[in-house]
Amino acid sequence: MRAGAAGGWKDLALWGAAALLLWELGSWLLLERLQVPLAQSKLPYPHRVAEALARDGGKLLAEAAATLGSAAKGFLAGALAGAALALLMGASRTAERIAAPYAVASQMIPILGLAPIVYGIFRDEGMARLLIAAYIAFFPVALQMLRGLKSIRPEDRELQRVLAAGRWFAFRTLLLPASLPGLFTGLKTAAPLAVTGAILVELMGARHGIGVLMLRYLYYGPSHAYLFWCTVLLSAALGLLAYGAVALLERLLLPWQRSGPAAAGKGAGA
Amino acid sequence: MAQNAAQQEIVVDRVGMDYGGGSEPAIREISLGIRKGEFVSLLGPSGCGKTTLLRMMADLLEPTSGGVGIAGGTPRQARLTRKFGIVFQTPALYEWRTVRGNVELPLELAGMPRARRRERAEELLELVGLGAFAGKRPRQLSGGMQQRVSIARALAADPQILLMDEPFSALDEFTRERLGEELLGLWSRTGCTVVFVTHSIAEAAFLSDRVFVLSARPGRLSAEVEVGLPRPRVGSLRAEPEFHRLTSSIRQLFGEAEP
Ligand SMILES: Nc1ncnc2c1ncn2[C@@H]1O[C@H](COP(=O)(O)OP(=O)(O)OP(=O)(O)O)[C@@H](O)[C@H]1O
Ligand SMILES: [Mg+2]
Repeated sequence: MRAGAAGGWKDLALWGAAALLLWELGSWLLLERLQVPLAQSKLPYPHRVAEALARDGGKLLAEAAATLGSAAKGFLAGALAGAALALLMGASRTAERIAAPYAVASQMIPILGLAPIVYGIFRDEGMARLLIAAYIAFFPVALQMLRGLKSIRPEDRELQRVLAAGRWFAFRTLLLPASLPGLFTGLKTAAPLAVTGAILVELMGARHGIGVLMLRYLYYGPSHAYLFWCTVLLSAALGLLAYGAVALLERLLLPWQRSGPAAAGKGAGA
Repeated sequence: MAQNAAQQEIVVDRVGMDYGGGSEPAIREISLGIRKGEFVSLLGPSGCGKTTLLRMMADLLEPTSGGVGIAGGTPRQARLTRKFGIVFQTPALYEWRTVRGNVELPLELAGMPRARRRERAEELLELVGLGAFAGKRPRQLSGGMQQRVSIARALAADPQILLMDEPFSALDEFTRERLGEELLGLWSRTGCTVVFVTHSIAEAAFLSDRVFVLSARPGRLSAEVEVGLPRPRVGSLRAEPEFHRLTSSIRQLFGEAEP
């Protein structure tokens, strides 16, 4: 298993290097050969972007941290609410019947429309980012966790009944652990989205965050093309970081997920 | 052996089960008695109501007519006082627990302290020949091994009755016969009453003191066969002429039972 993971990293590094090379080549083609107008805004040299990042990295990271901080808080709040609702719906059919349509309907509101509304109501960028991230995290977590609860085999439940187990015991030994894989599936879906959501709020007008810089550099035009690209790449990195953190937590908390045949399809090296 | 009522561990009294839906009832008027410490099989073709009958004993299902008595009370009382253990057709192990953790489940409920629980679980795993696998996850075990874990779990809280629903039906013939012999060993050591559901004539004959033969549509008790074979029974018994005589006589019962 360890050898497989190491192979995965090697592959990743190789692909990354190849992509960078292609990018450098493409950028050169646009600028020097085809002489496309505004070539560096369309596809800047990666080494120039790296230079810009090295120069202004401190400031960029500080703003990125602000984004990640509020996204994380909102994500946590949304995930908790989603998990609570899933457990409630899993425990009671009535609760499911009442709540499920609203949970689904909530997903019909586009974030692009919701963000300015929330921002308009609270007039506080931190709060708005938090709420949007929470809103995004809520649904996948609730849905996936409920799916886990619903897929509990009938004989697993009957065992609890035959053992004359109480509600709390059944919750602790069956429902909760059975819902965890779904919880993490939901969290992994939601983590990068929560970051994107927070950035979206920043684009609506905020004072701090990577999204603010992104918008500013976009306005400044070609002279800030490299910095603009830095913010885009950093945003992507934030999403990856969020995903990776959740995935790591999953590996630590659900060791049983990795043993045996059902886990075989997951790793590239397996 | 006197057959007075006091020695009856399980009494099924004119039980009927109609799942509704307009078709024939799944079970019609089945009555039978099972003595304390006895090993009996419920034998019959698919759909004749074996699982239905077993689930009624386990308080997982209410009969629509008649009644079931078990361990001197109702199925519900027996369940709440944990008088019986159950082995399902599938192992039904919790994959997030280790093999040991699965066996410990009933002991946890009984409030046994952690150290004793662990000790007892390992003792039971030793008993089913899985002492070396205590720390593994269920998925890392073969189907036969998983079913043995599920038997160890059913025996953990020392139940006086063991209800088993086709526990070996998903296994190959070799594993199945070996596990049957192991089960007889466990049964003679614990002295519990075993109700064993199967659709294999040979399996029922090899394991049981008595075989209840059920017929389908509607499910009825069509015969009751006393198995006179001496105990302890070992694998070579399956090759004996008397074993063959017994299994073919049971097979003939099915010929008569089928319309
Ligand atoms: N939950 C249910 N709802 C409706 N009908 C059912 C239900 N469970 C069982 N039946 C019907 O009752 C009859 C007996 O079913 P049962 O599962 O007890 O049979 P069985 O002897 O255990 O069969 P098998 O050997 O295939 O397990 C069947 O005809 C089946 O269709
Ligand atoms: Mg059955």
